[in-house]
Amino acid sequence: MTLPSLPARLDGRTLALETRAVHVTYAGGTAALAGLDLQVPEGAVYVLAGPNGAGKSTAIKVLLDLVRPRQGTAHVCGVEVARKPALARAHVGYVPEKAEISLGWLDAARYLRHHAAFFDAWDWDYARALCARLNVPLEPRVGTLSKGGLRALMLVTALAHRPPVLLLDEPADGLDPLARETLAALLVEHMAEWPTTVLWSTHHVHEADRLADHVGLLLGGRLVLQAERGALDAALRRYRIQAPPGWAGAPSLNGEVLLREGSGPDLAWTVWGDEREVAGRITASGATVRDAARLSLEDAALAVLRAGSRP
Amino acid sequence: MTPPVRRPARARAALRASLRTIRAEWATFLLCTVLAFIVVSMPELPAYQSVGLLFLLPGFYWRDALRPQETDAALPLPWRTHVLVRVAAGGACALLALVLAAASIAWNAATGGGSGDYPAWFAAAVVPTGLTAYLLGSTFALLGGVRKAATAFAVLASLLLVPQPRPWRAATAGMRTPAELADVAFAEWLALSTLLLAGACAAVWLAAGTRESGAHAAARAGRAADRLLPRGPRPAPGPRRPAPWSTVLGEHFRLWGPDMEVSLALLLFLTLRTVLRLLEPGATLDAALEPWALPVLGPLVGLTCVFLTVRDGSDAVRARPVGHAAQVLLQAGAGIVWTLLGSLAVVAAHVAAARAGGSLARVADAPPLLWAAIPAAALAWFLAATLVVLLAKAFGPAPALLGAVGFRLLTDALPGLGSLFLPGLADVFLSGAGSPPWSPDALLWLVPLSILLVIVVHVVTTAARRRPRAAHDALGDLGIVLGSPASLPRGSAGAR
Repeated sequence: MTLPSLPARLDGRTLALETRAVHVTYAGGTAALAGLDLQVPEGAVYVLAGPNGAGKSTAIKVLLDLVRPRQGTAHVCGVEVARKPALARAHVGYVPEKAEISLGWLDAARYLRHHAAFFDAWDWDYARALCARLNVPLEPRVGTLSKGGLRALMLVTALAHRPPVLLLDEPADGLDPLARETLAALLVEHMAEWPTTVLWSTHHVHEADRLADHVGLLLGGRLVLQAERGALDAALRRYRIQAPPGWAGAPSLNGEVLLREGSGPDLAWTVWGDEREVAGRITASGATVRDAARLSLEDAALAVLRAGSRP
Repeated sequence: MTPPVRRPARARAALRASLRTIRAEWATFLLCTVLAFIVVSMPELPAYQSVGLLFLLPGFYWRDALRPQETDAALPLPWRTHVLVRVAAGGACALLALVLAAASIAWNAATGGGSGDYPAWFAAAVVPTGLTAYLLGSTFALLGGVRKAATAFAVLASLLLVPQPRPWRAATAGMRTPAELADVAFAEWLALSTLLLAGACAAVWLAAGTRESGAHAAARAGRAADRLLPRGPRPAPGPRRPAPWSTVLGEHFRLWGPDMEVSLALLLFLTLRTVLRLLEPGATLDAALEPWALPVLGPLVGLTCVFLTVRDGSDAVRARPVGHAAQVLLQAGAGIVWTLLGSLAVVAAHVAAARAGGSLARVADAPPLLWAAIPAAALAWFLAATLVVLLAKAFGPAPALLGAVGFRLLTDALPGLGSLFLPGLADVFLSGAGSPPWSPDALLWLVPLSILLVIVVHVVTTAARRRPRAAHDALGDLGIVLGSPASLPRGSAGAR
């Protein structure tokens, strides 16, 4: 991995979710998480992105004690997960990545009634409203629901007890574009009415672009970047560079350039750092900076992860 | 080139395709073999006990897919035709089984190997009776799914135990004993069984045509929201807490209610067999009560519950605010409550029937141990089966199989453990008179069994947390997986 020094900690904030040096190893011996230090501040919408196999779902499962780490601790709302797993889970609404439901023979309404029995704070009026909003069919058996229908049902089970923490593992997977819009709007309304911390795991980062205020990028079981959205927006830029013939690059930026794209005189470099300083160094090297563009969340994530996965 | 003319599929071609692709051929051949074996080798146990099993054949074949599913419903074939084609495909297999059974019966009769007391036309009677059972099973499967069909099977089987008028016996002659057919004439059988078969055909034809329209489904969904989801006050915000165990236990008990219908219906059938004998005038306990096999009751109640226990294991379920081990144990606890209630009801029915039939002077004369022995045996089966299935789910079939074999050896080696599992009603009822194999000491074995279950649940749930499985080992598809096409890198990387 050849990455510049990117921020990887969010110290100094009250954290709703935290893992400290968590190591998880798969049955085959592959490291799923290799010293994960996840820090999700209270009230944040934290997007956890990374390629398949990076450890996103495993991280969420550690927070629910569905996977017990070989080393390290996890906390949910101040509760140490390994010590009081049931109490920790009482604070969480969870949408799993795989929406298979082992109680598939129940109809959806019975499934909801069954799920509601586990939560004191279950709000039936809210559940009904969510079902209507997400078009959850209530009569068919859960096992016969479409992927989108199942996902919507999972969202209802996660939201209807108004948990202080939402763990969403690919929540939009299987939803049609309209339902994705509805999901985003629903989360905004939910959070406006009820303070909620959201950990949104996805490899389709653009889905969470409008909501995310914190970002964590996971690669090979480690966070390669963990930052507030503002810090990411301020520090990561794509510089369009007009390079003179025979330009030898900008040696002073070595180690800080995430991506080098383009060929010939028109180049595009993605660099982490203060915009003025970076532009100054490029100019000092003899090239011209035509503009410095802010990256969308997805482009930023892609740039960091591609840089991180480079041998 | 002229494009080919499009037209609906031919039913005959669809039938051929259904026969080719039918999913559970093994079920037919197994059933054929079993039918033929029973008829040929056990003439004292005639075909009437097995022909009715064809009622369950649609469930074996199609499970819940007797109605076309989303994909194949779009094939160019009318809905009713499509359903009937599937029924007919299974029917062809049923017919094959029945012809084999009829041939076996005829061969037995010809060689003097059995079925001597039956009328000469009995071999032929097996065919329409079996087909009727198959068609009625298809009707129930179409209307209510496999579970309803299984429940209906058990209830109808129970009804068959009750003495019935001659026309009904004649119409279902293929499932009857020689005594029940003694007063039935050939012509009567032919007319009534044909009539019943025609009725079954009509029933399946009507059931095949029931298809919900989109508007009707939408209206039902609208009603469902009002009817199915309760209303309640918005809960006041407060500290979060894990779900209380009593709530979880009660919820699992309620949840299993509808799923117990098959087990309870089968229990009704098994209970009715001996209860009716106890109610006969002049019945005695030793004559009426067979060494009633709890190996039947155990798997019956136990395995149903175990099946429910272990299939409840997805992440969505495990993420609930209850300890993992506690949740599995509470589910098993709900199954235990159902098992105990079912077995106590069986005991109560037998005691009441013995009292009503006169073979027991007073209810209080029933041995008190009866109320403990039968539920204890059912509980023991439940615990043992749960152990095996939990181990199999966690560590694969081999350790579970070895455990089962070891357990079987233990039941022989350890005093009392075997008898915990095997008391018949007669053994305990007549414990004062005979030499009962059952001893109350056997109850003590429930304690180590329960402790073993707790340990296994703990081990299994811990192992599930400790050994996560990799869903995806490769990191190489970063660009494809992470980025939408619009965000894929533009231009080639410049090597500066």
